Amino acid sequence: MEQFEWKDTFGKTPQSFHKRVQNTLDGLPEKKEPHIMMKSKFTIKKAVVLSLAAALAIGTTVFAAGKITTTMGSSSKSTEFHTLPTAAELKEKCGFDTKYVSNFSNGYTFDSGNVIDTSAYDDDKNKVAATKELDLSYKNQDATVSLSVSGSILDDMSTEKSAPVHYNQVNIYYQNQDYKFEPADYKMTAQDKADEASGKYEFSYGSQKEEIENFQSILWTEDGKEYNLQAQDSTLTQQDLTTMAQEVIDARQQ
Amino acid sequence: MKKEIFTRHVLFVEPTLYRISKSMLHEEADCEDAVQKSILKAYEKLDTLKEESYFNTWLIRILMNECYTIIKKKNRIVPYEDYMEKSVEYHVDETNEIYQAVLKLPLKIRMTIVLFYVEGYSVEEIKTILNIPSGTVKSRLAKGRKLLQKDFGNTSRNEVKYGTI
Repeated sequence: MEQFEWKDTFGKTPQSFHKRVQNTLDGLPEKKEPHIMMKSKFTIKKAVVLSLAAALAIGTTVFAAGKITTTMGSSSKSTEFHTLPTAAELKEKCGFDTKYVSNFSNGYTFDSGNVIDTSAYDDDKNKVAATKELDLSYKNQDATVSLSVSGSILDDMSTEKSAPVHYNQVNIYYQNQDYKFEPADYKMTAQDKADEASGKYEFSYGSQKEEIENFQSILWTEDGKEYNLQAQDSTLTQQDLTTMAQEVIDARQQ
Repeated sequence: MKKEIFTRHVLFVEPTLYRISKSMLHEEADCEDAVQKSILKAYEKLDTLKEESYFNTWLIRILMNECYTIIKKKNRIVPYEDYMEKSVEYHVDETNEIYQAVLKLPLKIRMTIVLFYVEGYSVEEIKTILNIPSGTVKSRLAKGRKLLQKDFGNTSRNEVKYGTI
């Protein structure tokens, strides 16, 4: 007599589900322990680093100073859009007015966007702030830049090391940093500690294998919102990115 | 609990997380969203987990709450019954005959049936996960069995093992 196996009714766990679980786990920050190293001066879209193909966007960031030490973001694939919405639709999605462009003069054109729910935590893992973040990706052939607009200012620009460029009463900061992403259980070597102390690399945990990536960021705040134009392993120069940021600043607030 | 141990626990319970979310949600993408948010929430609230041995049931409860949130959002667009109806239509192969029948059950009864028969949780464990009295768990199981028997009473699959409580 046939006996039904209940567990079989659902089939095997799909690969996409497993990947989502794995990527989410990979992106989790370490719990506080000695030599756990995540600290950066500016926002990194870590999920992008870990897997461009990943269906999620989870970011882990630690700021150099101030009460906020970690931010964690989550987004849903179902809210991703590939046609640039109208200003009113964008406002409905993220809850705030923002400046943006549909394309840049150097050929980068809007490709996709999403809204990320971001929470900020202090050293004791208490949630101290939450905001929505609009994330727009622009492509030029195979190259990508992202423009993130946060509804609240979570970063402390005064801690930036670089001198700002002044443009239309806005201070624009530039950051260029090589990052080493390490597996969760990685222990720093003496060389790693020296590299970190010299500023050669910023270290971050959570990737499946060691990866070195370069990030350039242009940061500015305007009308109570935080803008971050970011390029990863890009051939764009500081001047290129600054010009792109100026185009966003020149755009009319939507 | 360190991240490494948390990760190990989550990966161990991953098939259950899939089946639970798939029991409640139609779209695979919704299941993935729900599990992602659950993992983030669980990690954030890890300090509230009193005993490690309750990790699985604790995470399942968080996941179910996330699924309910998604259902509520979907309900604003399309009635939940219509949303799940699609799921039944999707799985037309014979091996999913029982799955289709389970999906036709009302949500509360369905989840009790899935936790008991598919995941093998006891009435006492289901009582904790669903936060309902054990009598309610038993009555939902009884109702679910009746509905399933009705569905399968005249089919070749009437040997489905219903079990006892």
